[in-house]
Amino acid sequence: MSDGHDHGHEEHSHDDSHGHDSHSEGGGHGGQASQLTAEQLKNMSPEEIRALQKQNCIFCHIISGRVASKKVYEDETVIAILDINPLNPGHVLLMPREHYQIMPQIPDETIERVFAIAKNLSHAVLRALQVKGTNIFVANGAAAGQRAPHFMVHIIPRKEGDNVKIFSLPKQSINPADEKLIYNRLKERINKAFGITEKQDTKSHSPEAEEYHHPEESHNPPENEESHTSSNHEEPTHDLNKITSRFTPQKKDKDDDIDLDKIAEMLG
Amino acid sequence: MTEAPCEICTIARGGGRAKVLYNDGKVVAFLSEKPAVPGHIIVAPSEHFTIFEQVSEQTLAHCTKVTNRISTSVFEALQAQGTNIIINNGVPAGQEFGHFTLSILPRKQNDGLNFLWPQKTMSEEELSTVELHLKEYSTTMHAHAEEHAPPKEQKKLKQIDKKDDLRVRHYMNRGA
Repeated sequence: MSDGHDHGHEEHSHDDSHGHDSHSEGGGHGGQASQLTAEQLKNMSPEEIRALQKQNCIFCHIISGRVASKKVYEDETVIAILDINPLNPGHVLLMPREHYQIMPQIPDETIERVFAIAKNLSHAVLRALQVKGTNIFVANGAAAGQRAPHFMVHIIPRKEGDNVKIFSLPKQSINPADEKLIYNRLKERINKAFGITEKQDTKSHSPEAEEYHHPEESHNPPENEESHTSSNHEEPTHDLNKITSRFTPQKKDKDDDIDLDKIAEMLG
Repeated sequence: MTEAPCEICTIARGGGRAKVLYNDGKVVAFLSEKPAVPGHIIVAPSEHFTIFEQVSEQTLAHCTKVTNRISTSVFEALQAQGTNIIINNGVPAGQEFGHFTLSILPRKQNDGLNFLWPQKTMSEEELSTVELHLKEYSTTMHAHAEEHAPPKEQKKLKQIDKKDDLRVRHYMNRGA
């Protein structure tokens, strides 16, 4: 996962800082934490862990003003600063003042506010920097590319030919059996999260019949580019790794013919 | 000249062949037909907005809430170690549909995606220039934000259910 660089884009290794080095993974590596045993850490309440993270979080120090930064916006709930290691000029980091590590920990009210401001910042970026696009990006967890212990939303200005390729997501095919498994597990968990019961859920049908919602095509099987030869007999796997490895890489489709430039121009 | 109907609007209304995971009439979530990773979910407002900046405040708030809840579910449902939330806003950013959408990507170590980009350090001068430009526009933002700020009551911290918190952390640390 590491590239050649020590310091991730989300870290602030200012030359004029207080000697704070990289504060990448959560949990902190400050002096305090090293005095605690693993046992003690495990027994700490979420609140105590949070307090500890806050002490070691460079972004909390930036928010409190102890460490220098280039603020472009702040209010009671959030703060936005320029990333000193930007993907493109104008790369903004937007974060809640309160210390949260990942999005699931954030109350609705706060995360809604964060995204509302992200929208305004995206707008400001489009106008101020005369660009025609932005990527809004969140990474929850190291596996997703999270490097800072403090939750943040990236607002990254984009223009034609800027050679940023990472947000051109690959387009893969998926085996229908794998897809079905994924669908069912997600559906079940999502229903639970929203308190949707089987009866209330008019969009799905009995597990025996159709698992997918196809009101217009209930008599036609869904079109599928995959061959059906082996897929029906494949053992459904609960291992996401196996499913990932079955992906067949496909060449990227051409960009859709959408004239959004005009619309973006309307804004500016 | 008839324009092709918006694919997302069609899905939101219950048409198309998408595998819909959630639809409350205001927001729809479905599996991507050409996923970047297994379990790639697309979330969109039922109402048609082309780009991010056009989405109404209320609608965006609701989309955000639903996205957060769905992406939290992803950890447990798919044993994911992480999630990405991505909006590709505008053609240069790789926007795929003519209708605003967000993507939720369930992540695992070595799943083939990599968002760790190389750094491009900017000079102090360049940074300051950008800072000034953005600040000009942020004053209007501030005024706007003031109007729409939530009521100034005591903000309660979300009650963290220790079990849930540990569970999510557990999934994130798997294989690490």
